[in-house]
Amino acid sequence: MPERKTRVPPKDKNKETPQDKVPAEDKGKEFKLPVADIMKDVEDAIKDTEQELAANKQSSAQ
Amino acid sequence: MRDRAIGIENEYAVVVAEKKDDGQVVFWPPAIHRPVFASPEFLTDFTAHIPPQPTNTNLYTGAPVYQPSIYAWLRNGGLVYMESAGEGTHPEYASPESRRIIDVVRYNKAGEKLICLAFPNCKVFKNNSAPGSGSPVDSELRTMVATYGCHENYLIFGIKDFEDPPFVSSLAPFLATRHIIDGAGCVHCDTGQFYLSQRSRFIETTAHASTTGSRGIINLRPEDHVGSNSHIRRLHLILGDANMMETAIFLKVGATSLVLSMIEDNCAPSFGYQGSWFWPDCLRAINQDLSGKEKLIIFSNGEKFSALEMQWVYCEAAERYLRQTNFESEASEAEAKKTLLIWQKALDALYANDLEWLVGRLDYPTLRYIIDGMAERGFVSIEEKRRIDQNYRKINEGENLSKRISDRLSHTRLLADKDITDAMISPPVDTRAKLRGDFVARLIDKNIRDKGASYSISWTSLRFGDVIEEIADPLCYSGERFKRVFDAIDS
Repeated sequence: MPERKTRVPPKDKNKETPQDKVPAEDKGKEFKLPVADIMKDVEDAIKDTEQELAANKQSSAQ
Repeated sequence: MRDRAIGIENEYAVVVAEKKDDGQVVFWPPAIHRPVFASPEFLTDFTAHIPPQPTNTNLYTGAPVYQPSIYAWLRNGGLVYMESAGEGTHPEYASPESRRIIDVVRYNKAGEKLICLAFPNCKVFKNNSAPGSGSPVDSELRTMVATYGCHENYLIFGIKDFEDPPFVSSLAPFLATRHIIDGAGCVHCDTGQFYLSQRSRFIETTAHASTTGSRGIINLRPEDHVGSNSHIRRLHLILGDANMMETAIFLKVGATSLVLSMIEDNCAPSFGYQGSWFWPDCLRAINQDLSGKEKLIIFSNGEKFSALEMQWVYCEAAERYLRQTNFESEASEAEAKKTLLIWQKALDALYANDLEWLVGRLDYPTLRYIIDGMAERGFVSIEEKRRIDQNYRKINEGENLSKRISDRLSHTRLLADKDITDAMISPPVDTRAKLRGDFVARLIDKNIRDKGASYSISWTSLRFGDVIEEIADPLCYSGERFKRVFDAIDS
């Protein structure tokens, strides 16, 4: 059986996981996910599908 | 550590959008009795398409079946083809053989664009599953067996028997826990439960030759595509998910290639032979542990590991291995070290649930993040969760949700859009795909396909007229002898 992990996870070392490539505008400050923008994208995508399906249902009913 | 040729095959679900006389648009899934055809413009511009095979016979009923068959070799050296499965048919894309991991990602993403061009009147999803909406389309699609096919192919050196216990003992533990880093996420269509992986529940045994039943963590089908070369083989893996994020694809393929190198050089961890069912059982149990921290791998000696711990064992072994091994080139070394770095960061981020790093890079954390976020906005039903799941995998231009998220988090991307569009028409320059892609391009550009010329293309050979050239070594891409078949086209 191979040796058990020796690695200490970052949380236990009280150390943040490094970002490999932080956008220029975020340099020097902690990066935050643009939650509202992402969720807006999701909502738009769902809305488009809803419209397609509504059209499909209407057409199938006819 | 040797360079190897790697390719990915992806199955796609297409839903045909048909405009009726009254202007309404209806959607229907392709099926044997209602086939979908690739666009003639796509076949003309991108492929050396040879006309489809004549009518086949249904294996079970004996009834004649029209196959909307295409088997279209691409300018980039890859292949688009139509696969029949049960009542449904779906297109697949096999990427050209790539030597660089980043090229595997590039050509996989190029495949998304090529499939959309091939089926321009369709909604296209990067898996062979079905949109779940409750609509007539959906109910029809739900009857299809959706198994989310994404297959990987790795050139392997010096290993003849993939059932050999030492090989299985080293590879199976890594693969059985790999979904913790490469799982694409999945909302169960009946229960709404969120799983790490689409594919785990279809994996039944440790090693098996079948790809449609009794699927194994390690596939044993002896289809090597290497001619008579006896020292190399192709390892075909069918347990992977259809990944959307570039980092997830890079990590899946890069980490697997590193582990294979360790096995080839006798440096890989080994957990002893555990029989046929142990690792598939672990794989399915891990599928429900979104934290990766539950100690679900329990050996007969009482030792217990979580999925993350098992991945750490391999990741740390890779770190030691890379300190001592030689590389074929500086590019190979740089890429292996980059793979290791991303692997370490991914495991650290998963352990710490560092969403800032995970979202946009790994698929199931991204999908789970948006499903949880939308739940806070009132999207809580199973159908709504399924809809998010489907949209995450929809790849039509302008409707591609995972692409929108990637673009918003552009620092997570590994490729520029231009890298991907170039890969639609240009083959990798350092594998036999270069010869195949150039052959296809020559046929297209000289407009030879319409002149009744006799030619054929396969993974291992090119033929024009009477001139046949073997391309059996996947890593061989130049040489005087290959000129003959190109000269035959030119003459």
